Amino acid sequence: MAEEKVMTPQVEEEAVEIGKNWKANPHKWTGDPNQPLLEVKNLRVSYHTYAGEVQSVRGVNFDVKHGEILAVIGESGCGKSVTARTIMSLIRHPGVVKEGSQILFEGKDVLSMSKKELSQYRGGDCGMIFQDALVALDPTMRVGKQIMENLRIHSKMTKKEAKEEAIRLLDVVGIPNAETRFRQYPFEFSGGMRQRAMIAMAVACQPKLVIADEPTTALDVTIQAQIMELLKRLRDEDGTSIILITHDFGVVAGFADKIVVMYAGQIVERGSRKEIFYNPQHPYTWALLGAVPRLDWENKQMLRTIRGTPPDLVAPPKGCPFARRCELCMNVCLEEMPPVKEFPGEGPENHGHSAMCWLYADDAPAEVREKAEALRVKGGEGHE
Amino acid sequence: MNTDTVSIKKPEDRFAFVDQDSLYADEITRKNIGFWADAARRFKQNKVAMFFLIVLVLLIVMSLLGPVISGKDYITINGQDKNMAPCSQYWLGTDNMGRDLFTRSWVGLRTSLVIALVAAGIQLVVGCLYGSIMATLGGIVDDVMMRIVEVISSIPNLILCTLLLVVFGNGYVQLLFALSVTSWTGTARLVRGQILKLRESEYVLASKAMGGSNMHRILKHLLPNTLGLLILELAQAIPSVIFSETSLSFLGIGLMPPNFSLGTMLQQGQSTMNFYPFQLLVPCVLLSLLVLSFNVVGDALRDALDPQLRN
Amino acid sequence: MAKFVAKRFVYMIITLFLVFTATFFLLASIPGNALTMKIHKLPAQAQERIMQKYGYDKPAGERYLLTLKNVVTKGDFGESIAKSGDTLGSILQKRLPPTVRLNIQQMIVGVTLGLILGIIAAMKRAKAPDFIILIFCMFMTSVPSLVIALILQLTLTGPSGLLHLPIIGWPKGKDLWFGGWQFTILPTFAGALFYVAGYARTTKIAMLDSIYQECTTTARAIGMSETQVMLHHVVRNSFIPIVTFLPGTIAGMLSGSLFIERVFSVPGIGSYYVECITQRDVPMVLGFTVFYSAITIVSIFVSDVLYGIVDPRIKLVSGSSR
Repeated sequence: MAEEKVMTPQVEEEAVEIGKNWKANPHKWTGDPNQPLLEVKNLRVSYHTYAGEVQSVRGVNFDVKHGEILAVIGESGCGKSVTARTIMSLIRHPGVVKEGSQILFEGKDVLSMSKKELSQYRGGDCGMIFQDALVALDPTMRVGKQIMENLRIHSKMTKKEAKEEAIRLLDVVGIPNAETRFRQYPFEFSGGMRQRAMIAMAVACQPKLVIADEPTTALDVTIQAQIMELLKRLRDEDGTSIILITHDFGVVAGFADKIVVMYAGQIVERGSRKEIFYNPQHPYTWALLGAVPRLDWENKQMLRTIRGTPPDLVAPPKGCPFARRCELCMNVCLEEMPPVKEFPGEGPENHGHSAMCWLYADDAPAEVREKAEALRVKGGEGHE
Repeated sequence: MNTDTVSIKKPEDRFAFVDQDSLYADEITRKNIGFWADAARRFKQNKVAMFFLIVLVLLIVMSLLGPVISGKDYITINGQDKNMAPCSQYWLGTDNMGRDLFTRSWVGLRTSLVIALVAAGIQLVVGCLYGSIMATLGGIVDDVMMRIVEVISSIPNLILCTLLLVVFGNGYVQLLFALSVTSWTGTARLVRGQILKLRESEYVLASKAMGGSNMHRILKHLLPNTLGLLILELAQAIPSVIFSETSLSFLGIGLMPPNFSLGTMLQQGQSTMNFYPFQLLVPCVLLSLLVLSFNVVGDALRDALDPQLRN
Repeated sequence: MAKFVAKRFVYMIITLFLVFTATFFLLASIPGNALTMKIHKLPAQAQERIMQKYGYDKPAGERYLLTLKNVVTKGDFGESIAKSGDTLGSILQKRLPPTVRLNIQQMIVGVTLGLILGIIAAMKRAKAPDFIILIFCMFMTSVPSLVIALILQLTLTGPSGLLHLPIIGWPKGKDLWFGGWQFTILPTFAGALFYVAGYARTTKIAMLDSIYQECTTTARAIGMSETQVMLHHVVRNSFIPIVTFLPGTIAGMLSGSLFIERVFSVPGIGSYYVECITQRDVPMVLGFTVFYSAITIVSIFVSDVLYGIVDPRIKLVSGSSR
């Protein structure tokens, strides 16, 4: 009488081979290629919890151009996932987007869109890939149906057409036996397959921008590479812009065009991939790079760890948020917000490299610079 | 963290490096509150629950002191004072046999309360023992014991109670027995499931891997993880036993005169309700208040003990 | 699936057999029953004759085998020893309709009202409707159905009542299944309000659980409106825990009909069973116990099957209780 309710996942071998093209006509954008697709201006998001107002994101600015891959890197809790969700206008109670924040998608403010515009924007113009596909997909709905839902919301496809398109998409993202898989439930997929299905769902309506929130964190390293390859193809073939949220420098190494380093709800350093890997300026970036094991290091070299924990964002420090964990902490760091220093790149390589740090303040004495030079982690050679 | 000890006195100190060790000197670590202290703290924050806890205590105290306060005889039939309305002599009036309703209500409440507490206690003890024996022995013993549980729980509670009362007769002991026999199966399943779950859990595995003793595992993992559940089980068992007891007594199957509880008073009240609604209302209100307080306090306990809600 | 059903069916038969056996010997161990009460004044010879007629001259073991044979072959639990002529079959035929109607009405009111209130409470969370429903639920789960029934009867019925509803009684004749609502309304609500509260709470918790599931965020991220998210994901997922409450509801309502039928004098099986119990009518008590258990077991089985249908993650696997 006591029948057990057993969950039986059917894990299958990962298929390495990747299917056909995303679609017949690659995504074409009109207008000025230098005009950014997405602009995030002075974004501030708070969560009202029992302990008080947690200031998750504290004034973040960046933009994404057409066909560009932007990586947002930071520890957990630094506000990068909240930023991603805000771009999709997915912040809900108890989270609040503060006055004065702007998210412009093709010049239109996402935060003041009507319900109808928002419905077109989400899924249609902008797709999102979540970290854990097992919880992000509805556990009681067939995978195919969930992809179909997206297609049916944004186009006037009939059920039959939507089904064919969904199967095609599953095939494109490299899921073998797409027709069978279409009828299965998320729990019958392996982790990598689920993430592929998630990607198929996010890109079903050929969005101009895809936000990938830690898409590979829950996966094996080999499968991580396949998923990243899949995303890169999405950009290369369709010209889709991608915002990649991650805490792993290894993931972005061969992938991102621009990198933004976030700490405690603020951007501490930004620049092109080369600039961040070969010429990092902020002590936090050094610390992050120093914490990644490298093949070219000598055997006995110790990995650098960052001591302490990120600051409590209920009462953020008035000075530099990283000051208390920084090996180069100065008196001023604890008292005042550091200035943003631009680092001119060489010729066309300049992607607006800048860091927010007192070390580069105009009035900083020379010996400070010297000590900084001595301590800095040299470059990301070997990362690429 | 933001209470900075360093302040800049001279402008040339601005860019002086801070001594690394001083940065961690004043680091505040959040005070570590234990599970039980935290649960108690959260329970106390719940104003409604505190109120009903006081109501519950008052009800219990009154069920003991009520008869003493009024000093009335609640047993002897008094032909002259039948069906009296509330007055200075009989604060809540009298019943159809002229007995003081105020006193009778508190005594009836006491009976219902004692039966509920004892039956719920028996349910918990038997359920725990049975459940843990099932889980520990396993195999065929487990199968057979589980089958017994299934047979018992396939008969609706109230039906089984009536059956047992027919077989064993009426009275306190028989009623207690009948109520306990029907209710422990749920507890037994709960305990068995909990033990099996914990045995499989990774932290128990970790404790084993680190060489912790069996005793350590029982004290540090099994008990704290099960105790909360058992307290909740008790909080839920008491109202349900009160429900069953009053229903049975109302049907004339539970207690027989001269024994009485709130259930028998309901039965009596119904027969005269059109003329003397007070005789029905008084036990109704007391009964509802009693169960309501148990439920509110039980709910608050659940919220306070649920580790998921801990922040 | 077929294998699952077959295996479960065998288990159900075994359980019923065990219930039957246990009940039989429990009842056989009582020193007196309806028969001995009825005949104890007759002369010894007459006593013996009557005992013989009902088969009580034989030892319990022999009677057990005989009854078992009759039950298995003819579904016959024996004639009532308190009211001659009554058998389980004839009583069910006569008295089942009121109970079934009462329980169906209670079920409909309890589940639908509960679902509606639960959904409202979840959608208007932490606002006035939520608090009102919360207080209502707390109250309804705390006041025993018996008390609710009595209070409703006291306040709403009779010439002085607010609604002038009949105090007791049940529709007969052509109104047996449909009509005569003034008789059925109070018993229905008296029995159902407890379940309204129960379902409202369960629904609310289930809804909130699924509202905060990550998959609803995904649904929003592909451009679904709040209503679509609710219908496609939240409500669907909320049904899973609700289904598990169905067998308990059925068993609970059957037990509840014992005193609801008593309060409102409904001529159903509940009130008859209480009579059998007080008169120690052994064969009828035996029959009813098995009947009530059968219904409980079947409803547990049905809910398990439903559970498997609603939640694809659960595979119905027949086997031991591990």
